[in-house]
Amino acid sequence: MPRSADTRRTRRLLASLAFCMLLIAILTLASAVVKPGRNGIDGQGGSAWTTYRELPSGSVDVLFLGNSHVFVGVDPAEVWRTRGIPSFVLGGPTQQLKLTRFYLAEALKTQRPKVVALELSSIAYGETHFNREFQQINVGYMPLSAEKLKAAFLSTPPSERAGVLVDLWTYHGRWSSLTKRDFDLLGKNRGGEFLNGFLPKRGAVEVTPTASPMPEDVRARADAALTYNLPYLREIAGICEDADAELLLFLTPTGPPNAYSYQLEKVEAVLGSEFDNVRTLDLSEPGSVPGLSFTTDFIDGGHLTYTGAAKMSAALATALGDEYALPDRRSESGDRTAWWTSVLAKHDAYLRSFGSATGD
Amino acid sequence: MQFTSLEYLLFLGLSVAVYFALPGPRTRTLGLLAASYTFYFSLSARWTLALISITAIGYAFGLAIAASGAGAPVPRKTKRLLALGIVLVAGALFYFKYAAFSAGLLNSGLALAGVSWRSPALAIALPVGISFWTFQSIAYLVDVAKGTVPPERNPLRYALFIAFFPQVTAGPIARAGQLLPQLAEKRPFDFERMRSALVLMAWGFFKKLVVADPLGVVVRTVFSKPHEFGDNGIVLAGAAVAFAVQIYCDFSGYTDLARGAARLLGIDLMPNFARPYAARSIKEFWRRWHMTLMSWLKDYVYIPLGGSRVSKWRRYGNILAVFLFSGLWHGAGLTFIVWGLVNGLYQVLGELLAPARARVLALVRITRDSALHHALQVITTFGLATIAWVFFRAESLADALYILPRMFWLDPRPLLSGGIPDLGLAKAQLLVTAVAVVVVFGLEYLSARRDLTALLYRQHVAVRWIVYYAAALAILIFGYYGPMSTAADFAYFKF
Repeated sequence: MPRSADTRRTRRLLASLAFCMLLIAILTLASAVVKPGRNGIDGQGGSAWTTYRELPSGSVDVLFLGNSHVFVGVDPAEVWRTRGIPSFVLGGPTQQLKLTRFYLAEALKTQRPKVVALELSSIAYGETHFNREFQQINVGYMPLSAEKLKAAFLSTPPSERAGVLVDLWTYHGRWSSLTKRDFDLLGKNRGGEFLNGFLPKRGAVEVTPTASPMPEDVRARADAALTYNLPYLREIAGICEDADAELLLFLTPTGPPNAYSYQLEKVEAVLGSEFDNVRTLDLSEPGSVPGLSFTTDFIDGGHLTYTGAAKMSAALATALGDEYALPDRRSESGDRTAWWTSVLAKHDAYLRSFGSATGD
Repeated sequence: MQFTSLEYLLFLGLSVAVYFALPGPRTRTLGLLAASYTFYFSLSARWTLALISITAIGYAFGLAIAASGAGAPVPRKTKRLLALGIVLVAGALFYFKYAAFSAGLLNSGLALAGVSWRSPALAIALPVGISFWTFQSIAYLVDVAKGTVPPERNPLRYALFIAFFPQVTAGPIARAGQLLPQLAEKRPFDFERMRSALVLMAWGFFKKLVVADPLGVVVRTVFSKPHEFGDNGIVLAGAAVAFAVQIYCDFSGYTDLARGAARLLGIDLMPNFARPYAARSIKEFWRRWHMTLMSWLKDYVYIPLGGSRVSKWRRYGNILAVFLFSGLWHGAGLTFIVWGLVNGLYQVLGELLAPARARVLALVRITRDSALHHALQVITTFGLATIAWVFFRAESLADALYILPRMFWLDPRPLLSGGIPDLGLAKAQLLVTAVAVVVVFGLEYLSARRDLTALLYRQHVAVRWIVYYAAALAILIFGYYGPMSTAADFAYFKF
């Protein structure tokens, strides 16, 4: 081949590569613009990865995982206030356990929690349970990593994979409603750091818990969901074991009767015999959260108002401190205590501005 | 795996990479055939066997026809073999596409005649693209019988000719003489060809995602419930015009994607469109619209019927027969039959009324070559095509007959009093779509006068890249796709 043709071919190849790289950069930028910000406030719950990944290493003694029950029900500020335990909530809306295992693996890359506390109501989700919008949040907001790819390919139906992996695919339709804030690429995901993954809720409704025997069909569905989810729970317990972390499977308080407690007991029986690091805590048992009101502390049968969350988080912190002998970090001097003091101030100010728990 | 899915783009990229990595024509044929069957299997797994069966029939009969003595005049024995081959291939098409429709018609006829017996109801799924690959097979058999193309002796190459993935779902309907020789050659990697292929595909994506699919939402909103818009002739007329644009951008967009994908692999497929809405008569429109189908109908239906070398009234009959056939090819339904007949009638009446039109022109002193006359012809042709499209798109003949008279009653009062009704799209998206329509027809108008791609390639690299990036962003941002959309498949996939 003549030298000039060879040179031309090389130049074209390099130009094509440059073109593709610039195209990827432009599309990445466009994706970042159209993707909604997720700053932990403004009513957006779950997948608080931006805040989590900016925490200094060693900042989290307890990592809370699960579905909306956890990010609406657990308030890390109250956990700190009660027992001086630094914690973070990394739940996701309607998050299935087969996805939570990838959340855990990714979360352990930057923090070494002593306890992983998994709220277990997601064990009710069976094989067919899927919500596209929530999956886009759960997987779409994960940092780009092998765990995100696993979450996309192993916990997302094939038809929905593009939606959770390619932001432009999912969010390009927002072009007509973009605001100035959408172009603030550095700031749009910030603002709610002081909540540490917690989503305060108001608008209490009265719920009426009733004790009644579990119907057979509910029991059958609960057993089927349990069988479906057990392999994922084993995987989660194994990941914790490898990371030298305890796994606490717990339940937040709920209103109407449901199968969660039944499932928790079954899980305890199975995993307790297989793993040394697994314990359970059922805060849905009547009276296990002091002062909890079925009039002012629930927004529906399963989710707490921020006042309910404060009471539940205090009870949870007490149990965690007692069960695992976690150190009270409030007595330590240094940046962490100062940081949490500042977090508490912002948290309390925010909740004061937030209004009454019973308001709309 | 639709052409607009990420999976398809990954599949296409991988296919192109593997194709050029393979050493010779034989391995490339094998590689492309494997890719083509993989693609078809992903679309229509249960009917891949039907595709393979039709391929086997075409291959065997091609060889048998050639062995029996092909060439003009076609020997009697060859004619018998050809007829049997056509019956087998067309029989498959009839079974899958028309058996249920025929049973329904039979039952209606029996009911009218007072006969109590009924044919059992049939529910037969249609293999994707069957209308296209059966026509391609029939054309091959006829061409072999006539001796215009040699029979393909390599079974893998023949199978690839039928199943070639860029065109297996909706054409363009290839001719053996045009495609088979290309499949036999080893095409070297060519940068210019790649670039032109990607530009063609980008244009196809623009037409499909930025124009056809959003317009499809508006069209679906109106045509699925025409009675809700019965007092709003402007909306009905607008929806009819929107469908005329949608079907063009959908099918020509698909064709650009198919031709672009083939071009990436070094293969040229025949064009299907030549600015049909710039046509000055319905006859010209059909020379510019779905050109591979119309040339197939001309060569394998119209000419065998006698073509133009028969009496005037027989010729009119042939025209009507061809368009009736075209309507039936598009779908087994009364709306498609009427659509075909209306287009045939347009042409017959167009010829019959030619002297009257000439007298009117002379009376109003409009010369034939004037811009005004051209404009009137283009507008009239577009209007007539749009009226016919109402039959094509309507969900029933009754719906079409409901829409047609009302779409001419352009009373602005419902719009003035109630504003634009909810047509399924946000106003901003409607506005962008309108601008995109202007871009599509504007660029096509300009491209008829100047080679726009050649003009683009002559520009400085920075200008070219800016154009490419702007096009990519326009498609990806303004396109109607992804989880927020309710976009449909390509319209012609169902044929």
